[in-house]
Amino acid sequence: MYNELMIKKLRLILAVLVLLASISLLIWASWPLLSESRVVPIPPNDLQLPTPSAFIYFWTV
Amino acid sequence: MIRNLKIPYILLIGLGLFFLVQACGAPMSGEAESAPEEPAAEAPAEEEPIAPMATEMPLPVPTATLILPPPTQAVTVSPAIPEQRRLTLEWPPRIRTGDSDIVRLTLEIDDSGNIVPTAEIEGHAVSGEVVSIPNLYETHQVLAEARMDMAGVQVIPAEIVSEPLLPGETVTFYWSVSPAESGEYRGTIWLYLRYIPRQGGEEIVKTISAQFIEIRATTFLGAKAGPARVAGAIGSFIGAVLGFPFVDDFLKFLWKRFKR
Repeated sequence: MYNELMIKKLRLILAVLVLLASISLLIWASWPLLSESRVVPIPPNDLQLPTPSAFIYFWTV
Repeated sequence: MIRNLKIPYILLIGLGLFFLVQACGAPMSGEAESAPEEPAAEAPAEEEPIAPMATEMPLPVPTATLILPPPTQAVTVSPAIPEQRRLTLEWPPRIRTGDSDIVRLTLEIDDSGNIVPTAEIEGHAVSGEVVSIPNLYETHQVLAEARMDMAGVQVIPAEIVSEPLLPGETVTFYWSVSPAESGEYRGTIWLYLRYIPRQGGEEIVKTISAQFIEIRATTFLGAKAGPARVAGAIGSFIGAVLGFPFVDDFLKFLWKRFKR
């Protein structure tokens, strides 16, 4: 009778432990990943051909 | 007896040296403390000694003064893209080891920015004349090119990706990132614009942005994402089987508490 009760208790503890471990593994493995974002404005100078007209103007003067 | 007499003298000499050192050090520490608190108005006075040094160097003397013509005609400048654009980078700061995620780079139109360049002549006097910037789309074919560099992580595609940049259209680049081992990985995302003249000629490549990103690959008690899912599923099944005989007791216990 005592043995049966002990086995029952052990089985219950084991079941709870296994369930806890596997549920936490499942939650970690399926948790959606967060994403970070960064917005950088591009200055108009960067969208221009790299021919510095002011520089050429300076040398022609 | 003689030793006893010497002790006060030694103490006196020691005290004297202490005060001497304090007296010498005091002005220095005082200056150091007061320096940051000085008002900004005193700053030019400190810069004065620099001026003679500058005059020592031979400076070019202006021989002629250029008088710019009144801006009746539109000033011609180098061709430019007649849009304001912004770059949006999205990336996962954390990835489970063994999983993959997407890094996205978008070159889109900035709605808030309209380019209305005006010619500024003679200091601060603005003529109000709009500068005519030749449309770069008419003279050149523009290609947006991007590349992602990250050591230790599998990046697909690894090579440069290119897409044509058309007026008013958004260009988006995607990379699939998958770390095989846990750790911190750092990388750079490059964006270039390649200008190909429509009339033929030399291509010009310009670097627009190089953005630094950091991705952390994580594990759960050393388990990667794939094995963790499998172990989680199997463990849940085993746990349910082991705990099934107690479900009845558990439900009864809950029912009792609910009734109270």
